[in-house]
Amino acid sequence: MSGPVKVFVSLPDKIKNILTVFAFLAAVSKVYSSYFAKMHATYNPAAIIAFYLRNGTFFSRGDMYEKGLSAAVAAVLAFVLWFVFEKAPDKLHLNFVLCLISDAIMVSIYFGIGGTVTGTFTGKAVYALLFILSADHLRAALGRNKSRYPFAFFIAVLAFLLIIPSRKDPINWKPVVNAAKRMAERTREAAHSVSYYLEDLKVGSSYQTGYSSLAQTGDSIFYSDRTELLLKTIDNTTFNYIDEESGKEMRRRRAVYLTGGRAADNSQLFDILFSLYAHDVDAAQASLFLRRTRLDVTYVYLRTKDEILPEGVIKVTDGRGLKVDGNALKNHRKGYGYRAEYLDFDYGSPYLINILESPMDLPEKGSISYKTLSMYSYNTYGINLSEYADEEEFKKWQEAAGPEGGYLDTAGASGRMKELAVKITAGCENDYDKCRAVETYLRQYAYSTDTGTGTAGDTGSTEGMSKLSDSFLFETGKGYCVHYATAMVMLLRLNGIPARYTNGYRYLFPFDRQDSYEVSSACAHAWPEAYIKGFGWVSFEPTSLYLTASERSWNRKPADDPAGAAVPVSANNIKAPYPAPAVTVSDAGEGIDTPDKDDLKEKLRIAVIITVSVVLAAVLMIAGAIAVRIIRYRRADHDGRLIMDVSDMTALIRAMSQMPLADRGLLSDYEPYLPEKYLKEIKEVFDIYYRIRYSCHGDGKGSETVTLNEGQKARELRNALYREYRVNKGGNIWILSLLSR
Amino acid sequence: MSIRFDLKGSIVYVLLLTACIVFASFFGGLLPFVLLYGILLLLPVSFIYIILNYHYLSVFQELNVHRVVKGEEHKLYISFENRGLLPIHEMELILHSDRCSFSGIGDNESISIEPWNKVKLTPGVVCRYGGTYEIGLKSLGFTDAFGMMKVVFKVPYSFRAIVSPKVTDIANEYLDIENIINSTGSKSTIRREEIPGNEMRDYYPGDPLKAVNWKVSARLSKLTVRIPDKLDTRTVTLILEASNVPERMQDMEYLRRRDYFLEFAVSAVWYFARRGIPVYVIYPAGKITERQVDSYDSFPQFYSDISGGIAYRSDDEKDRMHKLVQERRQAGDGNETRVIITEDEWPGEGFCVVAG
Repeated sequence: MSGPVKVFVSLPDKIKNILTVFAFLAAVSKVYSSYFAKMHATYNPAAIIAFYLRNGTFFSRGDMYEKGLSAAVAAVLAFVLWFVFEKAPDKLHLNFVLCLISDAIMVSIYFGIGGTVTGTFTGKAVYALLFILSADHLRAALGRNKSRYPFAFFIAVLAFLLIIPSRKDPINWKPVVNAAKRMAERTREAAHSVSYYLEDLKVGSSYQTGYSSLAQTGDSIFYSDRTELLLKTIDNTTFNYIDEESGKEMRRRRAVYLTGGRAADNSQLFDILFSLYAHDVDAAQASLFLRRTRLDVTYVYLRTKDEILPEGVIKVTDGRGLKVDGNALKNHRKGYGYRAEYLDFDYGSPYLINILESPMDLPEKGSISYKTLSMYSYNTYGINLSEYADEEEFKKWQEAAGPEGGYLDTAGASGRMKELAVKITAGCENDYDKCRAVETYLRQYAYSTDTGTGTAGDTGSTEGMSKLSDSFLFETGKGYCVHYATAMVMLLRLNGIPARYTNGYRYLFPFDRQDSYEVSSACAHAWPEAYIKGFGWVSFEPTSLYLTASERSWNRKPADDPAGAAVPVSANNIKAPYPAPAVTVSDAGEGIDTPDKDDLKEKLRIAVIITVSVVLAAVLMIAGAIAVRIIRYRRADHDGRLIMDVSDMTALIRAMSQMPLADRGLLSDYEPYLPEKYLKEIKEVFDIYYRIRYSCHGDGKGSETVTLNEGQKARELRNALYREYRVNKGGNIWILSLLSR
Repeated sequence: MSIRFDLKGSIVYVLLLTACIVFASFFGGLLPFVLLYGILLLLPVSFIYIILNYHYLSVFQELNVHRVVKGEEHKLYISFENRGLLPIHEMELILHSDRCSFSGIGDNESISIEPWNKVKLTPGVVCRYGGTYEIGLKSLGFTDAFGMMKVVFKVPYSFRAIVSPKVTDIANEYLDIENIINSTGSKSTIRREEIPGNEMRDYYPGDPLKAVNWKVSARLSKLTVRIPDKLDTRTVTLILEASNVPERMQDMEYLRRRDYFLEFAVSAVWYFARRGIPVYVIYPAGKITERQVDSYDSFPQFYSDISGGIAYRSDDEKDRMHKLVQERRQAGDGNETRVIITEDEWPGEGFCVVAG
């Protein structure tokens, strides 16, 4: 019975099957509508199933004996069903039950045989026929008057079912999901556009993530994912390296730091080239920690005059190849872009760290000529120095003692900060080590964007940074990148190392290459830069949320020394064993918070706000409704007041009566429910009410018909009823408290 | 055509459809897709089926009388013919039961019609209001097999009846007041005045034949009557200012007002006619018409006009009537009592205003 079913593929067979099904259908209809009308053709699906279940189709060529047996089985089954039906007392429901049994058989076949059923027209016809018969029976069984809906309707459904091709595979929702995603993306872009163009209106006062050229206060910020920059690069977004612990080849994403508000700095280029020249670094060595690359930057939903440039930038050109000086007078518009050429350093490379740790051994800058440096630059890195800086700028660099500006300013720094700065860097031999020690120390602090509001400091001045740092280091013990960066800047300055606060983006490229990469406002970041004498500005990552330079190192090693044994590297540069004193903050127990707790608190805060708002809104609505009623009552004339009093009285009577009382607008309906002691008086008031409603005023100006005494009487009665209600049904008094005046 | 969905049925349908979609999303093959398509097709196929039912359905309805009188039962003939291949199942008959009472058929009663078959119904109908409006079968409702959707069609051939108002004593109360004020009705002596001489004037409809001076009429080639020796010192003019509501806005409220207005008008005129008191009636019968009614003989013509439907042929005519009413209210002569019956009451005024 459950053998595989042959699939009809040849055209003649298919036509034959169509004719077969129609013949069956005609037979079913005929049976239904005439001779066996009372039986509702119950046994026909069973007969069809019997044909269908046999090993092979009835009309295909095969063993006659087998066919005969199948036909006999079908006939017996049909007869049994007919017999049972004839003897059954409740034919309608039995009919339905038999049909359900047929359905169950077919469902079992589907799950039992599975895919072999698919593709046969006979199978489809059987399923479709069973469906319409089941629907017909279901309709008859559940119908209000048990009458049969015209079977012609179900035949029409069957015709459509036979025409529509069924699928072998489940529904493919991918196109729909993709379309929904596209729609969601467009909606998001539209929302960002609106937000971008409304930015000038200065709507709202809360801070959210994103680049800002203004001073930051360190107050709480809210997450935002608006696309602010679009990056294009020819580089791979990942690099491979051998993990030292496991020995396996690993893949890591590249990160890029984009600095805001600074133009290409030639003195930085001279510093770097001179340092490498002085350390006798050749092209092969340099490639271990340095690469020259470029990045196309386009502004999206960002409004600033600043140029957002990758760290180590040496040249910026616009779309026509002209140099960009970075002195914009107006905010850049959406679509503004440029190409930045920059030197990408691996500050975590032990080879570079070795250079950074020994800049003191460098000869004087004046000992090298522009020509010598140009030749070194070109021969070693292919950089034609004259393209980026001329000799005059070179001379200026030679004459300059160090970075200009107040990078050592420590105004406002507290005594405990000074003590801490000394404590952290105790035992460090050089500036770079001190920087790493401070970085390591700060990374112990908890990251949190929920820092409250009204912070004392800001990043706009040294005093502001001092206050912000002091609060972060000793009071709250938690913060986000702004707090870490300002604290490190101040601690470095207190150690005599020039340092500056940098604001921009930290973008981590995805694993897969794309045409362009969206830098969202959530990537906005602040970090410190320290001036390492002899090398220039070097960035650090004290924010505990992100990896340090060492942790995201390229891990490159010379080809002839894969183990890196010959590299003159200080061991402490690799694993960052900088001694870091434990963090001590005044309210550390509360201050060292986890993002999860922050999230929970934020949710609780929102829940409380919503609850309070809803309660307040409800209170205001009720209070407003009462106020409106009182005002209306007071402003009304005697007639109007009496009408309102009567309305209240009827409401009270309805509430007091035990029986459901519909308001038909007839006061006589209420009379049976009136309290005995007020019966006469209330009837009098009702009479006055009818007098107001139906009296005809000759002048048509609505002159009053109620006297002062009558009005007074109605009011007193209404209040008496109200008191009565309060005494009897105090539990529900709040419902009718609206009536109080 | 309007489509209404049954909330409960629709929810069950949507749940079933969702279940089928989920089934077909995880399993391929015949069973899930036949189920899905089957459930999905139920509503559209039902709709097509209903549209075809309606397309091949002919409905005709008529009354056994030409003119309908309010409150009297008439026989309504309704015939249905299914000219299509598909049977019509339990078609709901929605009647104008807000304005008519029916006997022999209930509102929302259902009938089924087999293909190429006819069904005839002959219910009794009683019109509740005077005026011109549609009566009988209002619309037809078709429901799908599972009662999820009901499609209602307006009957293609609706029957518009002219229902004559009834003469009652509805106006007596107002006219009694008029009588008390002006003392011109039958309850008080009619003030008359002696007219000296034998003055002639043109014949007006309503003048008694005996007043015609045949000699003078023959000479002048127009009917001329003697001015009676005694003239009523006061005349009564009834001005019927009907509203001018477009047909599409004639709701039940309008029908009730119109019914009251017509009944009041014919009753008021009958009040005078049966007493032989001449009354001038000004009313819109397309254009503004003025007619004198003073007897049983002259009343039927007026009643016929009123029953045929009072209306304005244009908005200008309505404006003219309104202007006329305002003029007659303010500047009537001392010998005339004007009873102004306004279908649309003016602010601060009643339905009937007596001025004089």
